[in-house]
Amino acid sequence: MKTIRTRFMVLLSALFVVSAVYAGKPMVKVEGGWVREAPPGAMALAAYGKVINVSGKVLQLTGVECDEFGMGMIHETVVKDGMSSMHHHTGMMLTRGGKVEFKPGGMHIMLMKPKRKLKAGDEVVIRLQFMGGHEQAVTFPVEKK
Amino acid sequence: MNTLSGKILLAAVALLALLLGLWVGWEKPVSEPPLMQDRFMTLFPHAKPLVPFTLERAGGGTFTAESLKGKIDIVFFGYTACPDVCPTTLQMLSQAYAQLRKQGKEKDIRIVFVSVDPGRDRTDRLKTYVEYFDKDFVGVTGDADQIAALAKQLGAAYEVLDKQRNAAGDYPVNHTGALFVVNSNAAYIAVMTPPFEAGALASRFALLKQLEGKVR
Repeated sequence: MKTIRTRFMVLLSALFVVSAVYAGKPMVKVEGGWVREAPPGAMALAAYGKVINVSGKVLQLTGVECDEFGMGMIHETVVKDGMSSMHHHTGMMLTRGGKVEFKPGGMHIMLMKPKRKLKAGDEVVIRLQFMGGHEQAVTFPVEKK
Repeated sequence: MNTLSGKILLAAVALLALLLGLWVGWEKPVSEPPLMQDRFMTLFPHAKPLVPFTLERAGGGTFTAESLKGKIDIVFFGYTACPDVCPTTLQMLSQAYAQLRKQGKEKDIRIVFVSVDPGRDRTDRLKTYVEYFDKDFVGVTGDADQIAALAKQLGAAYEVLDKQRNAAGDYPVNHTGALFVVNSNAAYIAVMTPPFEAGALASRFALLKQLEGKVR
């Protein structure tokens, strides 16, 4: 009986370790990430950077969250007939090794309702959310550029 | 006979050369000078004087067609709640303007940010917002008709979708990302279309100053 219990505990521990490693494994790598320093009174900011899928499987980026902001969304500035408008993306497919570049005037992580004024030199942690309930926290430096 | 053939041949060649020369050298009478166009700036053949309009200057006072005189104005339409296009463009303008300042040429140019979103920007916030990018930048707004009175003259498109207000009270605003150039006589002379780059903007600003007075 004791042996069975020990074996069960070992198995449970092993499962815990495996799942912990899996959870700790980065799903994406973010290169050149940054958040624009907030102009006074700005109610929305944008985060930029290149998000690369390193998970070895297809990922669906479904949303973003950040404790520093009331709301986060994946947006794209779309220019049609010379007029810029915002398009809200609710799911972005990232193939294995695939990437999406968030850059000024294009795709961006829109962060609304800032809870404090962010200055160059600060850092914000943005949680990238993926289909299946997975998420990964990524630190973005605040820059004025 | 041979001599005659030779002369005919010579005459034919001469005629052909003349026709070819006329064809190559012929220029159709030009009634309109051509547009001067580069990668992102289109300079119009004729300056279009602006008719009177009245807007509110952020921080107090009015901003009229008269206010546009004396400097080359770079007019940009946007709103302070804009997360991407407006801060990106204003930051680029700020860098270009800083380059002019280093050369002592910033007084030739004035950057004017017209908020098309008076519902949120008809406050002191507009002044602090534009001055964050540069203390010399000017913020203006007004009611819908006042904004339209300037925007229509420049062909600046925008739409404030305040009927699409979400639970938090936010609403989208679509707007042109172009920069409109008004000369020191308050006449519309050029348009610049994105994507922009600070160095290229600074060089166009310097070029506009050099052309001042030469384009009518």
